[in-house]
Amino acid sequence: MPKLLRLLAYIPELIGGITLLGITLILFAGVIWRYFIVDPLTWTDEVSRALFVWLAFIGAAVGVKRRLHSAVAVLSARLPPRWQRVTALIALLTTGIMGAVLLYTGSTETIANFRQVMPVTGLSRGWLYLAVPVSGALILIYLVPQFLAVLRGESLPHPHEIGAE
Amino acid sequence: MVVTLLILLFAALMLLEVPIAFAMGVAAIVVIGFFDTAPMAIVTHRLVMSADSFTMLAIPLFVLAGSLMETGGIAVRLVNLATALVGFVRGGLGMAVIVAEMFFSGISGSTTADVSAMASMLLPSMKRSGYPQEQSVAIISAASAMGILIPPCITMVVFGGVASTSIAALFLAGFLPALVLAILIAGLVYYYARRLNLPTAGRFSWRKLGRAIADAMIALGMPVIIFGGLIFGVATATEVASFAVVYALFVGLFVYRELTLPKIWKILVDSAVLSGIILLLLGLSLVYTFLLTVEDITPMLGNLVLGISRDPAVFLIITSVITMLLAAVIEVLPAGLLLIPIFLPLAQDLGIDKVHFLTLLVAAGGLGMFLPPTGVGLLIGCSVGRIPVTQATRPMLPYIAVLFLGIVVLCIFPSVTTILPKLLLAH
Repeated sequence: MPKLLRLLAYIPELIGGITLLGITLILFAGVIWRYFIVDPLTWTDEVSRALFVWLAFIGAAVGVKRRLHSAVAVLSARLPPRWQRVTALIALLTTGIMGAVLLYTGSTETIANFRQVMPVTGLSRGWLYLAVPVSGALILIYLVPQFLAVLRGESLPHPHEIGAE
Repeated sequence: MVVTLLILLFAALMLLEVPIAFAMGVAAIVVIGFFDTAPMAIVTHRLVMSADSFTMLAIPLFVLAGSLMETGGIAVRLVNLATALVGFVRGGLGMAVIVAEMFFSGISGSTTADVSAMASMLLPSMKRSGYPQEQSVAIISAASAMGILIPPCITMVVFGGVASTSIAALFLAGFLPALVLAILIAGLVYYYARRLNLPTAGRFSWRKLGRAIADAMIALGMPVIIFGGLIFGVATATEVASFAVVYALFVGLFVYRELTLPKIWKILVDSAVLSGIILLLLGLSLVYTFLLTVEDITPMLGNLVLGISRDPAVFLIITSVITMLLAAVIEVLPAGLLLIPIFLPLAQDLGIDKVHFLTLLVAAGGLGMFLPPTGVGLLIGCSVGRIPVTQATRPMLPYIAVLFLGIVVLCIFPSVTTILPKLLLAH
C-alpha cells in the first residue's frame, strides 16, 4: 500500500516531465514538417499550448510541495521562534487561500467552458481549465503536512529565496 | 483607496514571508472580495491566458535547454576558452570571468544559475592566484549582472510576452548593451589588477587557444543555433528553443556523454516545476497589476515622474533606478512584472522604443539582483564564496557604480539597443 501511495503521489511530477518532453517533441516535429516535409502540421500549436497549461499549473503546485516559490526573507529570521511559527502559519494559510480560490474558480470556469471547443483539434476548452482546480487541490494537499509540521513546532525549510531568475 | 490597500496588503504579506506570487494573488483576491472591482473568475482567466500562449512556451524550453547543458563539463570548457582568449592580460582570471560569463549566459537563461556556476568554478582558482575573496565575488557578481542581457534570457521572454513585443528583437537588443557593460567591468578589473598587483593567467598562445576552441565548439553550437534560427527567421523564439533542447539532449547523450536517462528525467521534472513557478508568478502579477491599473495608477504616477522632467533619458534613468531598487528586494522578474504595466504606457507616451525600454528594465533589474544587502545574486555569490554579504559590500560598490554608469549611457543613447534588431530583423 505505501508503494501504491508513493506512486500516486508521484503522478504530478510525472505529468510535469511528460508534458515538457511532449512539448519539445511536438514543436520540433512542427518545424521539421514545415521545412523538410513541406506539409505543415496544423495541430502542433494548439496541442503544445494545452500541454503547457497543464505543465504550468501542475508545476506550480509541485513548487509549493518543494517550497520553491521565491519569498523575501527579511523579517521572520529576526523574530523569536514563537513568532516565527506564527508568521509561518500565516504564510501557509495565505498560500492555502490561493489554493482554495484556484480550486473554486477553476471548477466553475471548467464547467462554464466545457461547451467551448478549440478550433483545430475540436477538443473542449474545459480540458485546459481543468488544470486549475487540480492545481488548487494539489496545493491544498501539499500544504497539510507543512501546516502540521509547523504546529508540531518543527521549522520548515525556508521558501526558496532563489527564484526562477 | 483600492490602490493603497493593494500595495499595503502585498507588502505586509511579503514581510510575513508569503511567496511573492501568492502575496500578489491573495492581495488581489481580498480586494476583489471586498470591493467587487472584478469577477473572482478573473484569477483563473488570467492564469490560463498567460499559459495558453505560444510565446510563453519558450520559457520551459529555454529552462530545459539550459539545465541540460549545464550538467558537468560545459562550464569548464567555456572557462578554459575564456582564459585562453583574455588570460594574458593583467588580472587575467578576472577578465576570463567576464568573457566566460558572456559565453555561459549564451547557454543558460538564468542569472542565479550563472552566478552559482561561475562562483563555484572560478573562486578557488582566483583565490590561488591571490585575488582577495571579496574582490573575486564582486567581479563574478558584476559579470553575472551583465550576463542577464545576453540571450537566451527567461526574463526577456516573460517581459516580451507581457508587453507583446518580439522576443527575437529583445534577444538581439541585449547584445551591444552587454558588450558596453562588459568593457566597463573589464576596465575596473584592470584598475584593481594593477593596484592589487594581480597576476596574468598565463601567456597567450595560439596553440592553447586552438585547443580551447575545439574543446568548446560543441557547447558554443547552442548560441549559434539560437541566433541562426532567429536572425534568418527560420523559426520563432519558441521553436528555436525546442531546437536548443534537442541539440542539448544530443550533445549530452552522444557527444559529451554526461547525461543518463535518470538524469534527463530529473531535469525534465525540475524544469517543469520551475516553469510552473514562473508562470504562476506571471499570471498572478497580471491579476494584481490589472487591479492596480483599473484604478488609474498610471496617470497618477505619470504626473509624479513626468513632473520632474519630460526628457525621455531622464524618465528612463528614473525608471531604471526604481526597477533596480525593487529588484534588489523582490528579484528582477516580479519587479518587472509589477512595473511594466504601469510604466510602459508612460514610456510610449514619450515616444520611447518598446524594445529599448524593456532592455533597460532587464539591465537595471539584473543589476538590482546584485545590490547589497538583499540582492539575491550577490547573496548566492557570497554563500558560494563563504563570506558574509557585509564583507562583499565595499568591493561591490565600484562595480555597481560602473554598471549603473553603463545603464545611464544606454538611457541616453537608445541606438545601442535598437540598432541590432533593426539591422538583423528586416523581415
